[in-house]
Amino acid sequence: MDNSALPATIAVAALTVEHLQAVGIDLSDVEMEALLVHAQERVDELISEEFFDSLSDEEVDEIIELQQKDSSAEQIDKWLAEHIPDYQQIIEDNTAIVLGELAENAKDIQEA
Amino acid sequence: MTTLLERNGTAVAPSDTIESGEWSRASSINEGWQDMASLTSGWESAVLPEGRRQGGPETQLTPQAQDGPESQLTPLAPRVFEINDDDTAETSREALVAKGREILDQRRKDRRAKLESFKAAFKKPLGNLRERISGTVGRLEEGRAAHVARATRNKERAMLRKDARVDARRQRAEARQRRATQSEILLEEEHQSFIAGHQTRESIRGLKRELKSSERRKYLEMAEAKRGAEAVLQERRATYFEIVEQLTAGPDENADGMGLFAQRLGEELAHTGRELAEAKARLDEADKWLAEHAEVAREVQEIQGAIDLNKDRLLTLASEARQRRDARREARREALGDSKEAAKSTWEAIRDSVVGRGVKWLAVTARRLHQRKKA
Repeated sequence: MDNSALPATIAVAALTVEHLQAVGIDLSDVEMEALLVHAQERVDELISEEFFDSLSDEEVDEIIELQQKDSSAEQIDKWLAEHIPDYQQIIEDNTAIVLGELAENAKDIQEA
Repeated sequence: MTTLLERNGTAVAPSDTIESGEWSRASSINEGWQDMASLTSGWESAVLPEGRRQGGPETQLTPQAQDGPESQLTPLAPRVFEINDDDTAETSREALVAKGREILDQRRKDRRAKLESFKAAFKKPLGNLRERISGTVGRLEEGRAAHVARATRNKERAMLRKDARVDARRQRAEARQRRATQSEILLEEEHQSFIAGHQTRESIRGLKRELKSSERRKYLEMAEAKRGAEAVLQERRATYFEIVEQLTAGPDENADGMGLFAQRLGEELAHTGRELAEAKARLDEADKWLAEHAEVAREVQEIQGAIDLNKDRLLTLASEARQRRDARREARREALGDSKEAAKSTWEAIRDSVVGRGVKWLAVTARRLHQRKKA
């Protein structure tokens, strides 16, 4: 098991198999993939919730409109950086929170 | 001019020779021509009067006539005779014409005779020639037959070679087909082998994972068993010494009661001894297994230690992250007021709405962009 996969600080947004193995979760490939998808959805949910909290109603309408105009990723990125000051920290913190949840429940997940 | 004509070995006059038509000798063509020359001489002496023989018409042989063929005999044009007597002249002319015809006939006969003689002279050479020709033809026939046979053999050989080539080509094609088929089979086998190998590797990975997991579980079970055995051992050991102490404390007032008590203590002691032995055996077994699986034990300890360390670190980081999140929430609550709080309270409902989906998409996009920037 490669424990070096775990970073000193959680500055990641995408969860990997190594993250799960680092907390003692060692399932089959299929189970691992399913768990990763579930965990990633959980991260996305937390991030989106906090994004929503960070934006005013007008800003939410604006970003939705920007999305519907098929704006480029760079435009979206620029908009987010301008309107969400803690944008990067929000992503990192919510990823760490989900990893913490996984670590707390690793034994139950492994034996389930 | 010398007369060469003879009859029965005696020289005869040319006139006699002409009348009888008998030729005794014509040894050669040239000699025959010489006879003809004599014949003309004879004709001159026989027909012309004595007084006119000299200076009269005569037939002269050209120089070629002595050596060449008959056709080269060129008669000179007859001279005009000067005859005074008309009757005599008429008679002589008729006689001359008749004699001329006779001579011409004879010439034709002579030519035929000479031709026959010529043929006879060349009969043998011709025969030899024919034989040679026949032989040649025969040889030609043999050669032709041999050629035909050779051609036939060559054709047969060519056919055989062609058949051999066709057969060889067919065999090569079949060999190629076999090789191609074999290659396909080998490829398929290799493919199947690869798949089987992949499956085997996957299976081995699964087995190893299972084995490791199983061994870890076994290790933990054995460690637990050891701890349990040690606890039982301690307990039974205490019970054992307690009983021994009671037995050695002195006789009871009631001897019967003492005997019954001693019997109970003995049974208890025996039971405790058995349990003690069983616990010891389990302990020994656990120790033995753990010793045999020292490597696994070390690995388990290392992994478990790393996992525990990771868990602690993650839990710490998660706790810090939660604190930051809560702080942000608090700050937002203070900044946005109650209206935003009301909106937040309905977050679960909003999340499934169009706005919610948009925000979720936003989060995914942001995460991906962040990931890309990290990369």
